[in-house]
Amino acid sequence: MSPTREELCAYIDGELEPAQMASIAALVESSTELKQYVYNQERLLENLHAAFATMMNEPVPDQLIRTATDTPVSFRAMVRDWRTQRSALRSSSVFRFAVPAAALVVGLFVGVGIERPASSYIGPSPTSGQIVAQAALASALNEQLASQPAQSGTRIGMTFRNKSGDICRTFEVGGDASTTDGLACRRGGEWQIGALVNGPRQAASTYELAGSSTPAAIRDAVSSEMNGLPFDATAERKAHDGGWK
Amino acid sequence: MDASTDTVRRQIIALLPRLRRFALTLTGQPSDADDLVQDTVERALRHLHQWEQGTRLDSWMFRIAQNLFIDQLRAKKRSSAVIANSFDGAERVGFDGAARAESRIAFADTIAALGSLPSDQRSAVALVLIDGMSYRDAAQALEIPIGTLTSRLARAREALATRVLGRKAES
Repeated sequence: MSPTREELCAYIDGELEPAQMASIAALVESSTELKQYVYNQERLLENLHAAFATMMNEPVPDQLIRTATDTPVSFRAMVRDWRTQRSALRSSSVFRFAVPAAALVVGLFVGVGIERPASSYIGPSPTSGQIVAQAALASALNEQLASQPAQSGTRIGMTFRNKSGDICRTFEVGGDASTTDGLACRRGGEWQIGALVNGPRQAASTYELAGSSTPAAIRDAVSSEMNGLPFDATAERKAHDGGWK
Repeated sequence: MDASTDTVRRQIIALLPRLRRFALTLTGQPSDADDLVQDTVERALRHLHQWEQGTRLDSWMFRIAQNLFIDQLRAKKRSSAVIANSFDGAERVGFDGAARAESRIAFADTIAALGSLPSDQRSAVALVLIDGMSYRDAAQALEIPIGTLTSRLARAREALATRVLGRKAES
């Protein structure tokens, strides 16, 4: 009985069960033609490996390494990361009681197919376990007034105090198709993210923030959290000067 | 065990040489291969939530590269003749490291021989014969049954042996 070419290949690649390997080996041993086939295939493998050996040993272009290092991950992956870290914090006796039981405002993470901007501007806080503003977004929330033009791609919208007495601000990162809108509230020296939306804009209706149409989920978050009226320019400046307390 | 994003980035960087080799097997051109790897890495990171933790990251990324390559082929409506021309060009371009004449010729011969295969056979060869993946892992990466993979491998092996070994015998 002659083996099929698929069986011969699987034999060469060591993909058969031991009994089959022995059976095919015996057939190969007894046939000059099969021996030649196996020999040629082994030489082919040597050729393939040798051909790519030089390439495998040369340095990888910097551009590829930068892409692997710098490309933002999807928002959902970031949240998964954050949940893992939070879970680790919670399982630690030191931090067991340090993690807030509930999100500061509505725990909304909507439109979770988020792409570029969000993941580089927000991340998990090592102290509170909450998702907080980072880098340029944190700077904008700290320093920028609604009346100022967008800086580093970030525009600040409405500022208000929530029902817990914390100051909250809406923001917009990006400005093109990948624009991200969000709501952050100041607690424990951090801007904790309460709501975040990425995706095509929805038509403005109830609120018009900083001249842009704000997604419904952010408007809803603002509506449910706001205590009193939004800050006017004077109140916003005073809150800024007072460190958002 | 969950892998943090930083860990995944490090794993991707470690995978880059294998991804480049796989992409070169598919495209036949070093510059096209690096473009494909770049697109693959970007796609993987921006859709990282789609990677199921605990499964093989390399298989997932090879699958992304393969799908992107197929998308590119469809988009450009490349004919098999155009692909073959692309592979012939590898002889002139080559990777920088393939500077020695002997190495460059062996490399170009092999790339040209791979270019003579249909793209589905090239993928199978790239993962099993060149990368050393098991049949099961390669079949999963390419999202095909193992029987289909073994059939493609068998056909590809015979064609490659004729071309690569036959050319050497002639020279």
